[in-house]
Amino acid sequence: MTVPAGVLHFRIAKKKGVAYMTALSKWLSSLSYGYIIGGLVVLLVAFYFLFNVIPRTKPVKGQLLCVVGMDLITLLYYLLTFSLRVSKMAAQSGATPRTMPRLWAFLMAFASVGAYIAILKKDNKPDKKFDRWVFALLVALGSIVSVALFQWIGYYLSSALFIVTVMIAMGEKNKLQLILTPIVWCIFTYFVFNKLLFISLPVGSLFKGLL
Amino acid sequence: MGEIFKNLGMGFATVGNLQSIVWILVGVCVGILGGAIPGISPSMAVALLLPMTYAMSPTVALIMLMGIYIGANYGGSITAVAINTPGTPSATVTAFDGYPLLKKGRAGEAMGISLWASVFGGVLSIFILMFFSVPLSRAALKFWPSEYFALCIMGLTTVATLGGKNWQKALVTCLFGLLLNTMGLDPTFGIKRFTFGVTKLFDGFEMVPVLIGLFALGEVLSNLEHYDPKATVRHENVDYKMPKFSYYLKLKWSILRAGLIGCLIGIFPGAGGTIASFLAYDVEKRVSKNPEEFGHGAPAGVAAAEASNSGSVGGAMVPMLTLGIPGSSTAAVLLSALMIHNLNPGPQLFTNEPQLVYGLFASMFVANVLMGLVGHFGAKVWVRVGYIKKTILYPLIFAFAILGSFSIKKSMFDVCTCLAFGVIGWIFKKYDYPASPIVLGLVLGKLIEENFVQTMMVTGPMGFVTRPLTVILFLISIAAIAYPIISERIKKKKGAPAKQ
Repeated sequence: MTVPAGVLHFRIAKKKGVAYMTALSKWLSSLSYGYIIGGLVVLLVAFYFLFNVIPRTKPVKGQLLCVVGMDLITLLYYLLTFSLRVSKMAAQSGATPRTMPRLWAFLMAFASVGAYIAILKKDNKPDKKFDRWVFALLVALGSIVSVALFQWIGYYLSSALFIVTVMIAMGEKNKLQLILTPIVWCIFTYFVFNKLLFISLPVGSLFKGLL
Repeated sequence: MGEIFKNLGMGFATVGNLQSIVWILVGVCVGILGGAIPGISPSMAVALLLPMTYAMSPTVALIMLMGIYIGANYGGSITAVAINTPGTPSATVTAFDGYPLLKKGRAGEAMGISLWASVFGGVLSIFILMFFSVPLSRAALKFWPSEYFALCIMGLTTVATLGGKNWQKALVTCLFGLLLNTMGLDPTFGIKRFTFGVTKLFDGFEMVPVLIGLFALGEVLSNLEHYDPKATVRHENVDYKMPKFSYYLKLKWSILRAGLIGCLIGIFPGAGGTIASFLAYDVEKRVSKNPEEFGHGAPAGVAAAEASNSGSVGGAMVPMLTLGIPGSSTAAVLLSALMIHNLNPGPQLFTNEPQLVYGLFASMFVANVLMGLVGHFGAKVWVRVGYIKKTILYPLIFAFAILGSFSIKKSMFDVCTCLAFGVIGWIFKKYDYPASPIVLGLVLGKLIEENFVQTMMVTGPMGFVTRPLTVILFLISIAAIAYPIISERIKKKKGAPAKQ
């Protein structure tokens, strides 16, 4: 039986497409997550500037960027599925490790179209303005520093410093509260975690010699 | 029926020891404390305390978390009455009449009604939970993988209700959660997916840091962003002496009606206490002889709001325990707690872990009784909780969240996961993307994949269309998705002529 030329062309194109996708997928999976996060950030910044110049998207750019971010990750996952190994048994059953991520990616494409339409509708609320976002972000970063310090100065001192710093940054001036809050916190965590739940928290290399 | 009571007796024997009662009491107190502090939701309170349960036995862990859930649902009403600021979203309706009652000098009445309506609504819901969940779990045991798959899909469609007006955004976040769930080793074939060379991602994301990040840190970051150092909380100097017990008998029908409504609404995944309390309040207003009193200090309004709110707790546990589908965002966190303790939520739980299930039922009775006592004798103390300074509260929540995510495996990676999801939760909150659907996707994703693959392997794709129950469940799912779209269009059509 001869196969029509159109079908043959489609099959060849499909094979070539899959080969390109697999090559792209392999390249993506060889990258470290730092590059991938960096790439996503660059793309999001590019979209930010794009949405900022279009009058219709400008007031809702934050809402749009949320969906774009999720879509970019979905696209990345979809591309990565091409390099996932498929066993013979899985291929025969019709449900491979690629199936579910692709199904969710496929549904995501539809759902995000709905979300874009809903966001771009005229009656949709514009983005809320950012208030003291730098402060909130600094607190989050401060907590990372605090955890990084666990191994040197220990959990107790590190968390006490973190609490006092945030309290001062929030405008607390009552000295008694500034002193008592971290002390009570340390005593509470020591008894609950160390004594009650038997979860030992790091004391830090600086104080290890003392104990 | 007799068997249920016999098993309940076994449950009481499981929790009838000092250790369990102390942990339930701790849970209730922490829950009330959390609920009474505006900005801490029941799901956040449960998520924050989740890491502490690692060292506990599954039963003790579950009963303590359940105590928090029950306590937090009541705790929200304290500040709703005292300072007109609901501690939890579901206590919004309590403030409608609770605060006007306080303004009239009847603060004790308002506090007493909200407390005892919560207790009786809660107890009522436990009976309904038991009588619904036992037969439902037996029926669910006979489900085929295709039916379970369809059921999970139906569970996912609850995002339509979780999202409310923003259901499109909720749908996207739910799918995003499902996609994130595919990270790590594939559950059937053991193939690595999307791990980017990070060995800690082989099991996917650790649930506790994700939950703490989304529910606790997201909320705190949002509060920090809008924190105003000059804002002050008004202290009301009022008498909180509660009336005698006979006073509450006048409200028995209101409590009974609202409790039933709350429980039934709670059964539907995604509906939750907020919808239940609004609905029960509306029903109570309609049946009242003095509907004009509502909103100006009607005791029945407070009773309806609180009984339905507490009633929804038992309701939300029905789909969670029997089908493994969370009925509310707090139930989703509890579901994760079950998984963390290597327990499979779903019908097998009733046959494999009857002591735990009936122990949980019994603990709910104990928790409600303890809540009544703690609430009655400690009303004045709980009211003061709402006045805690934000400069103390937020750093402590932050420190607790970090400690919680660090203590699980003592891993920096978990802390970074928690912070990353905290930032996601904060951004989502800012742009009206509900966070609960992500959790729903993360919780149900594995179950969906396993049942999908099993169906494909056993019967092939035809398995999804040949079993009648599977088809019915799919149709319900389609209807659940279509409902908000159609109702929105109908509303618009109705609105258009009115504008003209």
